[in-house]
Amino acid sequence: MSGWLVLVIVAVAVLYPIYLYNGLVTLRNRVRNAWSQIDVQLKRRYDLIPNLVSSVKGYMAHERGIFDTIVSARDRAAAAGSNVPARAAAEEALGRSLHSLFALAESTPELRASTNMLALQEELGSTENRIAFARQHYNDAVLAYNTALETVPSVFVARAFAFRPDALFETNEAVERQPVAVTF
Amino acid sequence: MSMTGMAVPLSAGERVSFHDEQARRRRGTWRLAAICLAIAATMGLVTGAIAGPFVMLSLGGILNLIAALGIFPQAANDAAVGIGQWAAAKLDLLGLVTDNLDKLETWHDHTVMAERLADLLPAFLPGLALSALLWIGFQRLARRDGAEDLAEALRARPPRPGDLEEKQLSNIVEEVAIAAGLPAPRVLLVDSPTVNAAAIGTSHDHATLLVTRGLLDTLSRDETVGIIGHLVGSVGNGDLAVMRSLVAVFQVKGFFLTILDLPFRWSAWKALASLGTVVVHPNPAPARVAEALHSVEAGLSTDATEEINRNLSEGRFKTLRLILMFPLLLVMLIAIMQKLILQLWTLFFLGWPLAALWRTRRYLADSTAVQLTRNPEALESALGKLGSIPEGGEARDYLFVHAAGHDTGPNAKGFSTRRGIADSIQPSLAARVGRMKAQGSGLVGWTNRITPGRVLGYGVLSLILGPLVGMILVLVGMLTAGTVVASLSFGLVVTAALLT
Repeated sequence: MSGWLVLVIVAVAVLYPIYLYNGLVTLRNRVRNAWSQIDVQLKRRYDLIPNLVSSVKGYMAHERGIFDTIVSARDRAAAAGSNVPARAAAEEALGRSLHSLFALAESTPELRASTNMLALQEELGSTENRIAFARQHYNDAVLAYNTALETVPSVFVARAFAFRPDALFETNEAVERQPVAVTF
Repeated sequence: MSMTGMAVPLSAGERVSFHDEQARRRRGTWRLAAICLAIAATMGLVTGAIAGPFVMLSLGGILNLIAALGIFPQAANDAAVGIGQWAAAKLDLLGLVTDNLDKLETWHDHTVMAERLADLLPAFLPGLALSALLWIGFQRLARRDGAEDLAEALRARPPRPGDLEEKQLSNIVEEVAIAAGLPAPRVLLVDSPTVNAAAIGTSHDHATLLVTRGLLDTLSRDETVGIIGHLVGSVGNGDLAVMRSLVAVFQVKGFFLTILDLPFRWSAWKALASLGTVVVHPNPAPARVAEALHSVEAGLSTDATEEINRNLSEGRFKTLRLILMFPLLLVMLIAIMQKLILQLWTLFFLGWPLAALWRTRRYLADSTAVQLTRNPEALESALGKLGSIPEGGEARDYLFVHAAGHDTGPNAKGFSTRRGIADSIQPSLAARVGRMKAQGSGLVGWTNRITPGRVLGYGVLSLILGPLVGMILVLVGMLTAGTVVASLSFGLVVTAALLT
């Protein structure tokens, strides 16, 4: 009887850490996969930008500056690679310049009426949503992973096998945190 | 806490985060699943009373066949006879149990009876084991059909990329799938003016969303995102597998009833034949699988009973057929009793928790949609605009976002929202909108608070219903016990007689 008991205890002592370790690896892979999803969506946005710029440029020749801002923001974002904070900052800047482009397009009557523009706007709006959702999913995954790293019982396994916490994809730009000033 | 710092006070209502709501609904799922399993197992005991001897008889038949083929004839014959003797022993035990039921006086009598009942239990085991295997088998089989028949019945079509609304829908589905971390499901459109949507498929890797054109025309982009969030959340939560496991319970019961019906209706043979074809076929068409499963489920329906009635009372050679069927009268009696018990138990005991389980899954999917979209207000207003099931989808109404047959609308109050609590597989819109408000603004129109009026109302109701429920329990219990004894004794007599 006691022999069985010892066997069961030893089996649990071996299997339970394995179970915890596998759980942590699953969570970490989920984070990595979520990050690659963000990457895919950001790539989609880069690919849409030349298309957008070429179809709008003709109508908005006098707004040269905004196109330069967009293109340079795109290049900076591409250069940041997988450095999470730098990438987040560059993508924020790109998103903001795209928003101001759309605000300008809204004030151009020929553009507002064009179906081509509407379709493009839907595509870009959808891409913005995808990026936001991919970020949300990434942050959820990071939250679950980091919580597992810090809580009992998985914290012991995490320490033993040196699992590192991941960074959240957040806005670091001071501008985003400022309250929006509205003037009428 | 000082009053000065407080914002405009919200009206009294319960506020809940989607995490807590999801945890609550997950707990509810486990609780209700346990209740359903317990009831289904008890029903399985009734089925097992006839299926147990059926398994023993089939096993004995196979052993006799093996012996006839000349493979270890002695051992196979002995084994068959052994099964027959075991059945005979259980039959004697059953006789002892039923004979002594009215002689229970002392404590000793009761313990003896309990021991005999425990000894009798193994007679049900082959049937229970077969039921469990069939349950798993039917779920695996249903994985192949993936409810594709619904897409066919609704004449669903792929979205037209040139149409801005439909292109937007494809975009929305891809966005929400990203939020859920799932591969984007396939989207099909149903040309119907009603506002509704459904999720079908085999797993979260192979799911299909069916969306009516009316939904696209009526809802705003944000509202559509909410509804798609519900569907994708439902797929991600594994509702497709939950649904298959619930339906498989009825398919197992239908299978046994179909076998009992074999001598009396031609469609029972056809159902078994089509089931056999799709089981043997390495890669059957989804529509064929769905057809086979439906024909097995039909064993439970009143159509099957009507067909038997027609076979016995109409057509040529009526007298001859009646004479031929005369020896099978007992089989017919057992089949009718089994069917009656199944229907009574489903109506009184299994239907409630089963419907409640599916409703819990709907609430869970709603709060998953909140987690994915972080926009409870949009889903709340979308729920209020949902309509009926598009034509052709009635047979699979449980797969739709909203299907309450007698719903009182999103603005209903009080007890009327509780109508259909027994059989409605979807929560009322008012209740769902209420839960959305609790996860969003917190401005709840009505709450479930205990008031003196309600206590009085429910008190009077339970005084009236109490004796009624008691009577139903006693009646169904007696009928069930009678069916178990009749099925088991008939099955064991036949088994023992044929195998020894």
